[in-house]
Amino acid sequence: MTDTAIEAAALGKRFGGPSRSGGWALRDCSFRLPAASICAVVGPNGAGKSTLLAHAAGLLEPTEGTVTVLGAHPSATRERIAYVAQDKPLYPQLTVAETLRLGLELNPGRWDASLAERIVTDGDLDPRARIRALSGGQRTRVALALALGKRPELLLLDEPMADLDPLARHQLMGTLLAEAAEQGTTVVMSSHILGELAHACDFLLLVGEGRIRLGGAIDDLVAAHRLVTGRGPLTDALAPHTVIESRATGRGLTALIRPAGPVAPGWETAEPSLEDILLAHLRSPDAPALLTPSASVRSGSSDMSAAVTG
Amino acid sequence: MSASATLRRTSGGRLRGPYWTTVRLHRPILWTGLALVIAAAAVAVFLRVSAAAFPEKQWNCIGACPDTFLGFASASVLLETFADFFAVALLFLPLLIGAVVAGPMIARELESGTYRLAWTQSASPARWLATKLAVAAIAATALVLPLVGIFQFLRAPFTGPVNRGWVQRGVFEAYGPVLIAYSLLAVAIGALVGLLVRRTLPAMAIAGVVSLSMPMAVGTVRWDVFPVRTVTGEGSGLFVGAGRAVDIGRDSFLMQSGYVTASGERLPYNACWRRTRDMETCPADLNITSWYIDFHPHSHFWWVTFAETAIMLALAAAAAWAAFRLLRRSAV
Repeated sequence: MTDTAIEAAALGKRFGGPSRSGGWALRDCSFRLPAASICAVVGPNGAGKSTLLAHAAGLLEPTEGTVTVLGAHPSATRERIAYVAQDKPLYPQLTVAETLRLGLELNPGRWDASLAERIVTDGDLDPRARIRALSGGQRTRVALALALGKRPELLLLDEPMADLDPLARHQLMGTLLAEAAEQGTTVVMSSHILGELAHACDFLLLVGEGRIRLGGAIDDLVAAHRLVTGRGPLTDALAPHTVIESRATGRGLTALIRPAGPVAPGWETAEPSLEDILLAHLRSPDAPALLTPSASVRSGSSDMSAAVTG
Repeated sequence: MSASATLRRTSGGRLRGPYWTTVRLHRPILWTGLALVIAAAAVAVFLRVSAAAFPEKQWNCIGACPDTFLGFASASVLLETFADFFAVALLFLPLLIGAVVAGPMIARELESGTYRLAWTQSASPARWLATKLAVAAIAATALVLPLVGIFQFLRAPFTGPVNRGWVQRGVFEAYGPVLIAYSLLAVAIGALVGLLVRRTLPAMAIAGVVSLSMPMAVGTVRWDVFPVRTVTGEGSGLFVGAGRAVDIGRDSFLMQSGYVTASGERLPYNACWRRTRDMETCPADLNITSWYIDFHPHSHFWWVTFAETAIMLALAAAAAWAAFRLLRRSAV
C-alpha cells in the first residue's frame, strides 16, 4: 500500500502533435495527493483540470513527465479507480438497470450492487428507463452510481455536480462523502465554480494554464496566507512578504500576502477565506506557485518502483 | 414490479463480463443478422418447394410463352436466377461485416466518448477490443455459415455429377472456408479502421470498401496466380476432329491453349485457323513444334480454397495485431 493517491512529476501533455506550436494542456505539473483526501481541483475553464484527471484515469499518455496512481502506473490500477468524465458518458441504448449490470459485469468481485441501486433509487429513477431518455442530472446520478458501485480506492470526478439541482447536489454529495469516509476513498473533484466544493473538501489543487498554482491541505493553504488592511505605501510595509494581490478599498489598501514573518504594526491582519485566496490568485496570474509540504513530490518517490514499495 | 426487483431481474443470462456488455450493446445488429438468415432461408425454401411443385412444362415454347411463375418462365428459372444473384450477394457480406465492426462497434465508442466509460472499468482496453473482436468473429461466422448452406441448398437442383461453375466468382467463395476467411478479415479490417478513423460514418465507408475490395481483387486474379496444370504434345495436333487432342474433363477449367514454336514462343489456339481457316492444318512457316493446354483440374479447387483461406486468415491476424498496437498507443 501507499499513502499517496496521485503523484505527478513534471507532467506535461501537448495535444495536436509536436508540429503545432504551443498546445500544451499541462506543463511541468508536479504535486502529490495524500491518500484519503477529499480534493478539489479548481481553476478556470481550459486550465487543464480535465486533462489532469484523464491522465490519472489512465486515458491519456503524458507527453512528458510521469503520473503515478495508488503507487503504480495508471494502466495497472484500473480496478481500483473510478472515473466520471465531464460529459458523463453512458451507453444511450441501455436501461438504467442494464447500466448497473454493466458495472457488475466489468468489475467482478468489486461491485456493490446495493450501493449502486440505492443511489439510483434515491433519485426516483425508473430502472427500465433508457439512458437516452434521462435528463442531464439523472445521467449524472447513474454515472455516479456506476463509479461508486465499483468501490474504488480513488474516485475521479470531472465537474460532477454541474447538471444537478441544489437538492440533488446536496443529497448526492452527502452519499458520496459518507461512502468515501467509510471506505477511506480518495476523492478528486474538479470544478470551475470556485468554492462550490470547498465546504466538502480538505485538499485543494488550483490549476492555471496547465500548472499547479496552489496545492495543499486547505487548512495549510489558508494558514499560509493573510489578508492585511491598512494605510500607507504598500511596498515599504509589505516588502518582506509575498504579495499576491493588493487593492484599494474604502479604508485604504487591502492585500493578500504570504507572510514571511510578523506583519508591520499598523496593519490589520485577518484570516482570509478560501474564496479570497482563490480569487486573488486567479486575478494575479503571475503570483508564485505554492505547494505545501504535504502536496510536494517527495524526493525519489517520483520513481515508480520507489512509490510502489513506499 | 418494484424498482429493486427490476434491477435484480436483469442479472439473468449466461454471458458474463465484457461478453455480456458487447452482446447487449450490439443486440439490434445481432438480431438484424439473425433476421437476414431467417429471411434468406424462408425465400430459399419457398423457391425450392415452388420449383418442385410447379415443374417446367413449356421450356421450349415457340413465340410468346405465357408467364407461368411470378413473371418468370417457370419456378425453376426463378430459382436459378435467384441462386446466381445470391452468389454475388454473398460477396457483399464482408462489406457489411467490416462496416458494422468499424462503425457501430468501434468508432462510435470513440466518437461518442463512451470508450472513457469502458476503459476505466476493471477490464482493460485490450480486453475491450479482444471481446469485440471475438463477438464479431463468432457472429460473422454464424451469419456466413447458414447463408452459405442456403446457397448450396438453392443451387442443389442444378448441380449434377459435374460441379458446374466452381471457378465462378461468388460460387467459388460460397463453398464456405474462403468466404468465412474474408468475413474474419473484414472483422479485423473493421477494428483497425474504426480505431484509426474514430468517426462512425467515415469508418463504416472505408472499412466497407476495403473489406469488399479484398474478395473482389483476389477473385480477378485467383486463377491466373495459382499454378496451372499443363499437358503438351509433339507436333501441331492440338485439335483432333471436333475437340482438343486431350480431354481435360468437363469439370476442369481451361485457362489457355495453343502452340509452341521452335523458338519457344507460345502462339494462341487459333494461330493456325487464322491462316488456313482450318484448326488441324498449320502452315509450316510457323515452325510449330508442340502444343499445350493450361488448365485447372477440379482438384485445384481445394488447393486454391486452402491457400486463399490461409492467406486471408494471416492478413486478418496481421490487421488484428495492428489494431491492438494502435489501441496500446491511444490508450495507456
